[in-house]
Amino acid sequence: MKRLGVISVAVAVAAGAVISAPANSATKVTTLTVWSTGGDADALVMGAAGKAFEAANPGVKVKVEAIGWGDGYAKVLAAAASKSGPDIFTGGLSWGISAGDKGALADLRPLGVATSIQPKVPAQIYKALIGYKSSKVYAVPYDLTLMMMFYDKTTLKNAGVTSAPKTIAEFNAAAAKIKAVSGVKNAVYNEWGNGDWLGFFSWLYSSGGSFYDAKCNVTINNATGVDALTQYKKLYADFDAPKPGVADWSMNDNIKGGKYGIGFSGNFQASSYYTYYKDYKNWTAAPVPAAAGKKSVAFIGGRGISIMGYVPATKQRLAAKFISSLYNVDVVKAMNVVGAANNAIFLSPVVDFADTIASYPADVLATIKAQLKDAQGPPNCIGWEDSQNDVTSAVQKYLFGSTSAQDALDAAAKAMKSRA
Amino acid sequence: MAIKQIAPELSYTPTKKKGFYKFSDSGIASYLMLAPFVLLFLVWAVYPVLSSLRLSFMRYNAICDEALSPCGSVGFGNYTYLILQDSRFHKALFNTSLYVIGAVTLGLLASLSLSLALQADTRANRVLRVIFFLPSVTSGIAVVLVWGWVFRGDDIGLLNSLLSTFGVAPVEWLATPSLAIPILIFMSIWGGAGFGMVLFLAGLNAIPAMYYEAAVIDGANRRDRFRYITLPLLKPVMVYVVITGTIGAFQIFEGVYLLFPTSVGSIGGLKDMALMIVPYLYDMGFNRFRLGYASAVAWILFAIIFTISLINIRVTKSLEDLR
Repeated sequence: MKRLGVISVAVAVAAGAVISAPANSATKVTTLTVWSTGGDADALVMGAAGKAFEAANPGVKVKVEAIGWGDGYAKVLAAAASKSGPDIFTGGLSWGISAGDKGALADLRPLGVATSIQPKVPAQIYKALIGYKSSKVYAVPYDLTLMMMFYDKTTLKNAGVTSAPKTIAEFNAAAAKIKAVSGVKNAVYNEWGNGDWLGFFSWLYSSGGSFYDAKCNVTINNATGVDALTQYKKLYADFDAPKPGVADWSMNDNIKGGKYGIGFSGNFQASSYYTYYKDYKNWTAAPVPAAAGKKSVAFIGGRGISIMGYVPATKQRLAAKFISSLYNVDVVKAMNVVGAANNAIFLSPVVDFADTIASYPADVLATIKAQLKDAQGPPNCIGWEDSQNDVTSAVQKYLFGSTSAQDALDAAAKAMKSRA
Repeated sequence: MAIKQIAPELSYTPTKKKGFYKFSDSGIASYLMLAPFVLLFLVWAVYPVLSSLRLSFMRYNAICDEALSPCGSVGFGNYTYLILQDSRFHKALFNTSLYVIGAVTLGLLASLSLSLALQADTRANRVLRVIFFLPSVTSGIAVVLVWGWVFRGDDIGLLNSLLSTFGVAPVEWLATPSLAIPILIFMSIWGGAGFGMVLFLAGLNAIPAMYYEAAVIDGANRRDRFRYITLPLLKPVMVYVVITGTIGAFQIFEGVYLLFPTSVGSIGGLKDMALMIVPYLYDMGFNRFRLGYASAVAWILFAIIFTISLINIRVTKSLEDLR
C-alpha cells in the first residue's frame, strides 16, 4: 500500500513536469535579480521600479531581494567570487570603487549607462562613485542621503532663537541658549555618523577643509581641519551631544518633545518623520552651519547601483536598460508612492525629481534642494576605504580623550598616507 | 600437581574465524569504518586549515582578477605588517589579553565558588544549579541583545532606570572606554560560570570522602582541607576549565559585534575600546574581503592560544612533579 502511494506521487510529479514543459518553453522569462541594500521597505521601493520595467518589457521579470547594510558588501563580494548571485545590486557609494577595483563589477561605460546618467546627476556625487585615476565606471548613483540639521521651531523659539543658525558662530550661540531651556536634555544630537569621520565631514567641509585635495594629497590635518575638529568637539563638550552608544534612536520624537535641541542626521529622518507626523508643522530642517564666508557643505551619501561582472553580456545590456529606467520621472514617481506608504521616501539623484516627493512640506523640500547644491560625497582617493577606521579612531581620541586636535589629525593623516 | 592437570583445560585455542568475522578482525575493516569520518575531516577541517595557512602568505580577495586585483604571494608581508605596523591589531591584541585575563581568572573563581556553595545534594541546591547553568544553554546572541538593553545609555536602559530610582545619574555604560572590557568580562562570567560549576561539581564529587574524614581525624580545619585535599585533586578539572576558558575567551565575538558597533559599519566601539582579535579578523575578512590578511590574523591567534595552552599544561605538570 505504501509502495503504491510512492508510485502514485512519482507518476503525478512526472505528469506535472510533462504537462508544464511546453508552457515553460513557450513563454521564456528572463529574470533580473536585484539585491537592494537596506530594509524591506527599500526593496519594495525598488520593486516599484521593477514592476514599471516589467510592464515596459514583456518577458522580463525583476526579482528584488533585500540585503542588510551590515554584511551587504561581503555578500556582494562573495557572489562575485562564486560567480553566482544577483545581476544588479545597490549598495554604499564606495562599494562600486572597491568592488570594481577587485574585478567584481561590469564597467558601465560600454553599456551606455555612464554617459546617459552622468549629465543628470550632481557632478560631486557622480565623482564620488568613480575611483581617482580610474577611467572605469562601476557604479552610478541610485539614491541620495544628505546630512541636514533638524529642529523644532518651538524649542528654538523658547530659547529666543528666531531662525535656524546659518553660521557656526550663530550655531554655537543658539546651542548655548537652547541648553539653558528647561526640559532640553541635550542641546545637540548627532544621529548619523555620531563621533566618527562621517559626522565630522560636514563640519570640516563647511569650514573650508577637506580630507584630501583634488590631487588626493592628505589635507585633513591643516589649520582648517584643526579648527573644524575643535568645533566638532564643542558639540559633545559644551552642548551635551550624547556619545556613540548612549542613545541612538527616536531623534525625531525627542526633538519634537523638546528633549533634544538640534539634531544632525540624514534626509531619511525627514522621510520617517513625515510618514508619522504628517500634520505637525513645527518640526523642520535646515542646511548644516558653515564657517563665516564659507558654503554649507553637507556630507552626501546614498547608494550606487552596479552590474555584476559575471553576468553574461546580453543580460548586462538588459540590466543596463533597467538601470537607465530608474532615471525616468514616472518611474521615480511610482517609487515615491511606494516609499511614502512604507516609510522610505526615495530621493533620486536627479535633483529636480525631488519635486515629485509629495510627502515633504515645501520648506523641507527647498532645504534638501539647497543643501544638495554644494554637498560633497566621500573621497574617491585610493586608500580612503581602509583609512576610515583610522580617521574615526583618531578623531575620537580627541573628542573623548586627552589627545590634542592637531595630534589626532596628524595621526589620521599618517594613517591615510600609509593606506594610499 | 593439581595445577598441571588443570592447566591444559584452561589453555585457549583460537578458533579459525570465517567470513564477516574474519573480515571484521582484519585491519582493513577498521580503516573502512574510519574512512567516512577521515574523509570528511580531511575535506572540512584539514584542507580549510591548510588553505588558510597558505592564504596567510598571500594577497587574496577570492575574486583575483588578473588585471585589477591579482592575488599572489606576499611572503611574510601580512605577518610583519600586523606585528610591526597595524595599530588596530595591537589595540585588539591588548584588549583581548585584558579580557582573557579577567574573564578566565574571575570565571574560574566564580565557577569554583558556586560549585563549593552548591555541592551538598539538597533540593534547593539542585534548583540553584539548574538556574546557574541555564545561561550556558541559552542562545549567545539572545543573551547579548538582552544585555544591550540592560546597559543601554541615557535613561532608557534597565540598569540606568534602576539607578535613577536611587537618584543616581545615568551612566554611559557602552560609551565609556574604561567600562567596555569590565562589561564584557561580567557578561562572560554570567554566561559561563554555570558550565564551569558543573565541571567542578563533577570533580568535587569524584574526591573520595575518606580523605576528608582522615584529615578531620588528623585535626585539619576547613581551610586546610580545601588547600591540601580539594585544590590539588581538582587540578585536572581546573586545567581543563582554564584551557577551554582561555580558548573561548580569545574567540569572543558576539558581545563586541552587537554591543559595540560604530555608526558607519566598523566594529569595536568608541575609540576601539572593545576591539578584540576575532571581531577584527571578521572586519578584515568579511567587511573588506582581505582574506589573506584575515588568515594571518587567525594564525597569529592560533599561535597565541597554542602557546598559552602549552605553557599552562607544562606549568601544571612541573608543579605536580615538584610534589
